[in-house]
Amino acid sequence: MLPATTEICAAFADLFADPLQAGDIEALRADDALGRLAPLAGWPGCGEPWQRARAALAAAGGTEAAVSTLNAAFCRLFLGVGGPAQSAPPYQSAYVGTGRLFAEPETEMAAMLARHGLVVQDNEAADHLAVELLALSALLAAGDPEAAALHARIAGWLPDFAAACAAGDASGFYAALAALLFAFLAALNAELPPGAASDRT
Amino acid sequence: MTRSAVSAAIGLTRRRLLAASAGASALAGFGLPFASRAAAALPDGEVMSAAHWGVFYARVQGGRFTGVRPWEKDPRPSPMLPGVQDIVYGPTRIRYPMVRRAWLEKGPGAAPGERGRGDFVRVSWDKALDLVAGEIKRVQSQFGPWAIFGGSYGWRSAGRVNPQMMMKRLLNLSGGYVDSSEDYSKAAIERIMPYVVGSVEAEGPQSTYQTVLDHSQVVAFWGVSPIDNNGIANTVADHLDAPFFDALAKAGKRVIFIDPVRTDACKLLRGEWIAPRPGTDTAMMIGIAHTLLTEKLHDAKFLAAYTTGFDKFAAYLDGRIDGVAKTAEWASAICEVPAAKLRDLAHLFAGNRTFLVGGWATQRQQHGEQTPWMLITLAAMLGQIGLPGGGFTQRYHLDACGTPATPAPAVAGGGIVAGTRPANGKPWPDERGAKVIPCARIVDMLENPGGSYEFNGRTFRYPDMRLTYWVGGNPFHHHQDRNRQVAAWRKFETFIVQDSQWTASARMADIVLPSATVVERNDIDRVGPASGRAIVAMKQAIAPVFEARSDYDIFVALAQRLGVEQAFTTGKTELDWVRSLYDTARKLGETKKVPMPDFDTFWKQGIVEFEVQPAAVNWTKYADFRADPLLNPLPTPSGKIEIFSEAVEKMHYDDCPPHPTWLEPTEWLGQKDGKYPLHLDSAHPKLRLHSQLCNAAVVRRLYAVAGREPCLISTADAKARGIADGDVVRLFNDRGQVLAGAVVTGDVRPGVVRLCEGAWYDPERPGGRDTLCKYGDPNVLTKDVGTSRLAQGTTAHTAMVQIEKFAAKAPAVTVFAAPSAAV
Repeated sequence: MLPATTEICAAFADLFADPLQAGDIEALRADDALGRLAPLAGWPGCGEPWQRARAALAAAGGTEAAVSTLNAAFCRLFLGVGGPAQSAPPYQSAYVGTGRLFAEPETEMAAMLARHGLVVQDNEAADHLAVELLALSALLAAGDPEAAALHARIAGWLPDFAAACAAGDASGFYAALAALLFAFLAALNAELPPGAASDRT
Repeated sequence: MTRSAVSAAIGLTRRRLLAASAGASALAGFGLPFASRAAAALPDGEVMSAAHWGVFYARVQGGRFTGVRPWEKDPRPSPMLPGVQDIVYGPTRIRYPMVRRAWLEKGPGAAPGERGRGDFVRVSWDKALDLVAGEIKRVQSQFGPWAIFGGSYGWRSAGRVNPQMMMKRLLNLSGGYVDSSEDYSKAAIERIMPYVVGSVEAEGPQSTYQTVLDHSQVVAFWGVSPIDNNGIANTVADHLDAPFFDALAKAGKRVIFIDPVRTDACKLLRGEWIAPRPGTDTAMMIGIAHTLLTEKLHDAKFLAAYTTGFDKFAAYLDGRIDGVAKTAEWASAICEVPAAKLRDLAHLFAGNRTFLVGGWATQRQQHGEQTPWMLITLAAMLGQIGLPGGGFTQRYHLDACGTPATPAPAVAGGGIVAGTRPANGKPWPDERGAKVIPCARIVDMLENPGGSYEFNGRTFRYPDMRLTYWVGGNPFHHHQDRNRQVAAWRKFETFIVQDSQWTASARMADIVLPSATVVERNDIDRVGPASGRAIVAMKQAIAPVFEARSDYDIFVALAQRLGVEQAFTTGKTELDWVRSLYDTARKLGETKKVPMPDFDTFWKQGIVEFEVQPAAVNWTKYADFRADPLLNPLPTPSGKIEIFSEAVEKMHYDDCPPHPTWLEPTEWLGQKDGKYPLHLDSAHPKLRLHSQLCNAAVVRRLYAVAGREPCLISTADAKARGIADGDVVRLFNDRGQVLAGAVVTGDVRPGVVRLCEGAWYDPERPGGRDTLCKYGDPNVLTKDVGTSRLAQGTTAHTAMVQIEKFAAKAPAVTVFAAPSAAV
C-alpha cells in the first residue's frame, strides 16, 4: 500500500464535498503542485490529468477570480445549478437506473457505513462521492478488507461521473480532477490486496 | 462586507460528512458525532397523495419514496406520473439556501449582469431568512410597496395550501406589494369574453361529453390538442376525458381538426386535418361566415333573439364598411385553405348539429381577442348554441371539462388568503403607479418605470421596481423574448426564488430558498377541477430531503422576522390550514345536502368521493339562456351575446375593434418582405406541465431528440435545408437562437415548426446578449408584445424563425469520451 493513499482519498473527498475558498486555492497553488494531491504527479497514469488540473487552476486567474469561477463550476456541476444538461451529480444513484437520487446505492452505502459505526451528517446522501471517498480512506487506513469492494463501487460509476464533468465543466478544473481521481483509483487497484480486485460490471 | 467577514457571517466551514454513530464502535479517524441526518422516519407502506398529473399512492420504504402507483380509479394514468419522484429526487433539486456571491458580498443590485452564472454561496437557513426579511424591510422603508413585485405566477404544485397566497399575505402584512393579473394561457379570452358573453367563459363545466356523443354530428376542433393537455389539471387531474375520446373515436361522427399539426387526437379520432397558416384562424372563420351569410345559411332568428350587433358585423362581412367582401376567396388568400373547402365547411356546419371546440392557442397571438369572439359569432350564426351537441366550447382540452359535475363543494374557503396591506401603511399615491399589472407586461414594466400603458379601456402607469419574490413559478420559462427579459431583469436589485428545482429562474436569482415537494408536506385538493369527483388528502409521505422546508415553515419563519407572525398564522399550523379548508368545504357540502365525513375520518381514509347526479350527465351550456333569454340573460349589457360591443367601441383601440375583425399580425407566413420564413408554434408540451418535469430524466427520455427539445419540421422544409430526423438544428431570428433536435414529419404543415414551451432555458453564456440556448427554449425566439391594448396577453404564437442544421460541434452534450486515463 502506498503510504499517501488514505490522505489522497481524503483530499479528493474534500475537493468534491465543498467549493474551494481562497485558502484552499492558495494551498492547491502552493509550489504549483495541487497541494495534497502533489504525490499523484508521479503515479502511473495520473500525470496527464494532474497536469490538466494544475493548468485549469492556473488559468482561473487571481485568487478572487478563481474562487468565483471554480465556485460557479462547482455549483453548476454538483449542486444542480447547471440544470439537467450541465449537471454532474456527485451521487452514485444519479448514474444507475432512473438517475434519481437516494436510490439503492444510497441505501447500500448507508448500511455499509452503519456496519462500521458511521453516519452521514449535514443532510447529505450516503452515496455522495465525498462520503464514499472518506469511507474508503478510513477502510484503507484500518486495513479493512471491505476497502476493495468500496473501491470497486466508486470505480464503477466514476467513468459516468467523469464524463458528465467533462461535458459540463466550463472551468476544466473539475473535469480534470474527476479524470485524475479515476486514474488514481485505477492505480490504487493494483495496490489492493490480491483477490480483492474490483469487479467493474 | 469583506470576504472574510462574509465567511464568518455565514459560517463557511468545511462540511463534516461522516461521524461515528452514537454508541457504536467506529472506524478510527473520525471526530465526535453530532446530529445525524435521519429525521424521524415516516412508516413504510403506501400513502395516498396527488399531483397535477393525478391521484397516486406513494410507496415509502425506509423513509424513501420508492414508487408510484396510480389511483385505481384513474381511467388513464398519465405517463408523466413517475415524474413526481423526479421532482423529489432529481439531481437538479435545490438542496440548500443559496445566495449569489456578488449580492452577498456587495449587497442588493450588485453585478446583476452576472446572474445565471451559478456563482452561489451556500448559507444557513437563519442567514437566508435574515437576508430575505431584511430585503423586504429595506425596500419597504427606502422605497415603498410600489417597489416590490409580488405578482409571482406559475403552476406551483397541486394543493390548496397555496404558497403564492402565503407570499402575498406576508408581503401585505409587511407593507404591500404590486400584484399581477391575467395569465399566460388565456388572457385574451378572459378579457374579451366578458364583453361578448358576460363571463370568462373558458372555465368551469362545459357542455357534457354525453351530449356530444348523443347529439353532435360534426365536431370541429379548432387550434386545440384535446387529449394531450387533459393529462394535467389545474388542481388534480381525473382523466375522465379518456372514456369520452375513446367513445368518440368509435362513434363514426365527422371530426375535423384545424391545426398546423396533425395531433395525436386527430389520429385517434381519424379526423380530417386542415392546416391553415398559423395566426389566420379569424380570417378563415370570417370566410366561412361570409358563405353562411351570402347563402342565407345563417340562423337569422337565433341572431335576432340571442345576439346584438350582427347587422354591423354583417356590414363588415359583405364589405359595406371597408369595401372588401370577406368572401371564401378573400379568406383563402390569407389562410391558404382552398375557398371550396371553406364553403364546404360552411355547408357542413350549417347542415348538421355541429360542435365547435376552440382552444387557447389561437388567442395566444397578436389580436388574440378576435379568434374566440369570432368562434362564438360563427356558432351564433349556426344558431345551435344551447342545443345539445351544438354550439361551442373553449375548454375541452384542460381539466376534462366535459365531465358531468358532481355536487362536490369547492375546496377554496378557509385557506390562506392574501388579505390587504395595513390601513395605516405607507401612503401609496397614484403617481407611484399601478397596484396590479397584467402579468405578461412585466418586462415592459421593468423597462419603463413611470411610463404609461393602456389596458382594458383604461390608462395606467408602471411602478418603479426594486425587488421581486417568486414562489412556485418560472418566469424564465413562461415569459416571451428571453434575451430582452434577461436584460430588463437587471432592474430588480434583488430577485428571490423559492422552489424545489433549479429552474432557469432559480439560476437567475440572488437568493434561493429550497422548498419541500408535494410528498414532503401536508395538503388537500379537489380531484377534477370540473368534475369534483373527489377531495383527496395529500399526506406527507417522507421527510423533506437535504435542507428543504415546507413553504409554510419558510413563510412563518419570515413572518417572525418581520414581526407579523401571529397575523400571518392566526395560530394555525400547516395541517390546521388543511383542516380549515376541509371543514369549510364540509359546511358548504351540508348546505348542498352533500354529506362528508369529519376531518379526522377523511384524513384517515385519504379520499372522499362524490357521485354524479343523473341530471348533470346531459347538461348543455347556455341551454337555460336559449330556453328563456329574458329570465336567464347573459351578464352582458344587452343580456345577449354581443357580436358588436359598444363597451369595446368606446375604447377606440385600433388593435381591438368592436366586432370580430381580421387584423394582420406583424409576423406571419403571409407577411410582405418577411425576414424569416417559418412560423414558430410553441404549443404546450404533451409530456410536461409547462416547464415542470423538463428535468425529469425518466419522462424526458420519452421525447428528447439528441438530448434536446424536439422540434417538429415538415419533410419538405427539412429536405430543403438538408436536415435529417435526429439532427441537432439551430432555430434563430432577430430575438435569439436555440438548439433543438429535429423530428422530420408529415404531421406538421410545411412552413411551420413546432418547439414546445416549457423547455428549460439553458444559455451557453448566461447573461450574454443573444447567447445560444442549448436545450431549446422557444421563448428565446417568441415576441413580447401584448395581444392588444384590451387584454395585453401573451403573443407567443406570433413568431417567425429560420432553422438550419447545426454544423458546429454541439455544446454541452458532447458525446462521452472518457478521460484518457479513465478508459
